[in-house]
Amino acid sequence: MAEEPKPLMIQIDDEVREMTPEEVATHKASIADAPQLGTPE
Amino acid sequence: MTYPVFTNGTVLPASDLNAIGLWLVKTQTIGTGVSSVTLTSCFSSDYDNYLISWSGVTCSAAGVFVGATCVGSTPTASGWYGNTYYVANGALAGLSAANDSNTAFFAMGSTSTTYTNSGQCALQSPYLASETRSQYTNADNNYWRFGAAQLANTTQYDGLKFYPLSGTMTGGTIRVYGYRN
Repeated sequence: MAEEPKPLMIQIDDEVREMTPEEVATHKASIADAPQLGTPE
Repeated sequence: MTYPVFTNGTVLPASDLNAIGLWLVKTQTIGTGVSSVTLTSCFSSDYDNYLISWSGVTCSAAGVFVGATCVGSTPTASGWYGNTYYVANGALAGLSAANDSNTAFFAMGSTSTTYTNSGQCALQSPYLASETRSQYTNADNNYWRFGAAQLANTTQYDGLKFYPLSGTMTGGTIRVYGYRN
């Protein structure tokens, strides 16, 4: 059985919680077109 | 200029205290396995310009830290323009460049999975009704990086979202300092 992916966690000040679906979409959109800023091969 | 030397019991004149150039505005401990951490209410009319520093951060993926200025806890979705230049550690040539064109973030530093991560980034005018600008220089066991970026709007941002472009982060501390106006 495939392991379920871990939920994405967001921290706002001292509060740590799972991202809402909207926050997940926003976060993924913010990094979707990120240039390769020197990531090791 | 004569700099004051303080001793226990000495009266602290306002003129000396008002000459303190850097003031710790906010400290935030990073939790476990978080994709991002947002510091609210860390920018205000108290300071035009800021220094953001972090240390002891463990990352799950190698790459870069980025930031997004926020209104409340809502980060920028676009608008940042800048460049990052990088060289592989140990190399004397081979400067590469990456361009942030209308991105949601500005580059702040490096992430390594081998060591804990630390760095700093300067940020000008996030709360002023004018352009916001950033600059950084950082290194890890893979790359040395430096860059700058600009957000050309007049929005007054009062918070910062700090995150790795890949993976998650655990532990460590972020501090925001204000440069005295």
